Amino acid sequence: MLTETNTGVTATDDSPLLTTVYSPVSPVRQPFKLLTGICDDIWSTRELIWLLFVRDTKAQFRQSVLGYLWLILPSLVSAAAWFLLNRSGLVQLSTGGQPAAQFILVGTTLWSAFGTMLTVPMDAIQAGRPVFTKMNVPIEAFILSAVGKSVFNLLISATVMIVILKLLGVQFGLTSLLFLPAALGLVFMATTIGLLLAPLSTLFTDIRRAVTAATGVLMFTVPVLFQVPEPGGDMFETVIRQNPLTPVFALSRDVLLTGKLDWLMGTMAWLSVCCPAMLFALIVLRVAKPHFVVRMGM
Amino acid sequence: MSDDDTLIRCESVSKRFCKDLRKSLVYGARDIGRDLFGGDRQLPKTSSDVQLATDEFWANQDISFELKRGQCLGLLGRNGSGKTTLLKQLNGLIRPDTGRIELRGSVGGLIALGAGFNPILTGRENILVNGSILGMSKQQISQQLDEIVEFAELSEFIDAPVQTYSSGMQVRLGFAISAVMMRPDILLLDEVLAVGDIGFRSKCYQAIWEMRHRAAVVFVTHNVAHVSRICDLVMHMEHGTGSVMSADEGTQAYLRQLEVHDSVGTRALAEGVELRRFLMTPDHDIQERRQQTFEFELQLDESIRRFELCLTITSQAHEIMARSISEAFVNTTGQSMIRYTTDSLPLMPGRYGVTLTVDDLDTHQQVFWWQDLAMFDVEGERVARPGLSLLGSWITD
Repeated sequence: MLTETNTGVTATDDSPLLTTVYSPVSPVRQPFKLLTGICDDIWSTRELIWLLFVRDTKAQFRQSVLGYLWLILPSLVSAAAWFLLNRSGLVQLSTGGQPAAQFILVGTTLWSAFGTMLTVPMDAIQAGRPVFTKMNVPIEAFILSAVGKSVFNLLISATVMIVILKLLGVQFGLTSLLFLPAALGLVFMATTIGLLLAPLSTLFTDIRRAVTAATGVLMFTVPVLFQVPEPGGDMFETVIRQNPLTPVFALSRDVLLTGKLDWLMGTMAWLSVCCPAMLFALIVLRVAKPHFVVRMGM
Repeated sequence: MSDDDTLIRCESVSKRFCKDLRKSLVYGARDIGRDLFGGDRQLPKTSSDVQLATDEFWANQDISFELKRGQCLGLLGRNGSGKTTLLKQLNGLIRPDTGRIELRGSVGGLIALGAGFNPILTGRENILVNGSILGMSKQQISQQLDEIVEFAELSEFIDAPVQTYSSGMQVRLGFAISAVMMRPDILLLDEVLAVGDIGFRSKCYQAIWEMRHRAAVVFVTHNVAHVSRICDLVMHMEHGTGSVMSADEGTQAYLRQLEVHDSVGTRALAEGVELRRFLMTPDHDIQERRQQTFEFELQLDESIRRFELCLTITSQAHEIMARSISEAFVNTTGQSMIRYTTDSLPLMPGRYGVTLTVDDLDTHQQVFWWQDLAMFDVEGERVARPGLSLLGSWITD
């Protein structure tokens, strides 16, 4: 290790210099070293992650008049539109006997959270392009801080949503406290899917476009605007019931509005699948990084 | 120096790129797949072990060198010769396709000055983030904040958003952050001395000079003058390959390549003027402080009535060394034989180029310009060190 002396001249002490080797050998050949490397990097960049999080959170609305209102506005507008459609009778939404306004509001807020988190990893990589193409910094730090920023935003919009629900007369029970972990579970699933897609999305912009297009369709395979249909229905109902996103969606809404825990086990099951998937996604990202950095420009 | 001081060791490092964007993306996906699921495939040692796919080429091919602490290697080469690719491989941004890079100690790069600045945030806020990207702790940054601001000469604007800065100011801030905070064992520099105004450039130069002594430095540049000031070794890169030479040899190799490439010189503005013949007497064994004659046979359009010639002698790097401007000539016949003789060629031994320009004195337009219309060597017993040769005497007491 080098130590700086007062005179500005460097002197070496006994500890050896850290050796780094770059070669065509795939890092996957040493999976344990790869994983500990990722963890070390995340730990050693914790200050950077925090700074980036603060920087981006502070900067996001500095040029905006409505500011943080934008966090809740889109889902409010969307909820209002669906509510009006439903009331006019043009669209029949089956809310399982719950008041349509609150049912739809929770649904659209959760869906907008899901849609946001899905693209956070890809957008974070794109935004960090000038840094990644020139400097050797852990890409995970930039993704984590972006995830942090979005979660922070979601917490704000969730708080506003809860206040509105209270104004609409919803009585919260003890199980409502489960809303936060359930919603974070949803965020985790969305981030995992987003992270799995991120490396390829840096090569092919099709991925990002497809995700945007798919979220519009996907919304109707998840109980966003209607309750989960009873089993034994047609194929569409089966799709909804089998969708990995259904349990966490239904659970998040149920704990808030009805206090039911019917979907708890399903949620836990899918979340436990997500954990190894997240590890896999992190490994893929590490392995893919030099390959996409090369193609991001010089 | 002991063997332990070798901080960079490159062995047969190669990197392939693809000319076609679509294919390059497909190859990228393929390479990621291979890395993930490729198993124990035989890894290539040199570029000859690799079969290039369609549209692929070697951006770096079998590059090997070693660099010790205190040494500075300049990477010289034309655009696209693979300098930046090599630098990026040393920085770990790109993984080599063959060979091996071994680095000892911390690596710091003055490459992307101000990369990661958020334009909306103030200079002060960006220093914090940028320093952290460079791996500094919050405490280190706040301790050195004043020094950075002072170095960047931005104390007045440090609380203004970075988007209000001129590009020069942004680069200054970027350089200051890196230069003040980085104490790397291996320093990678990419064209950094090309930024800012002259005052700031000399400050950058000073900062690099200080870092240079405690680090192994790799320096990418086009500027031959910088190389001779900073580097003791040069790799002249051509089509992705290159080997390490002494600074003098490497610089010469680079300049020779430039010369071959521009063998007919760069011509422009030839409006009704043609250089029919050019002669230098003597044309070989040219010596410092000897008589030298330059002859030009010009054909001029009759629209040009009065004209003057300017003869410029430049170094190979196109720095102006000496100049002579003719009196006003009158174009009567359309043909002119013009001779310029200097009694004492005031040039140190080295290689020089001749540039000729012709100005129309009525329209005040330059009507002819030919850079490097000829190259010549001033011979001498001492090492070639191009420059104007002063008259005078050295005395010791």
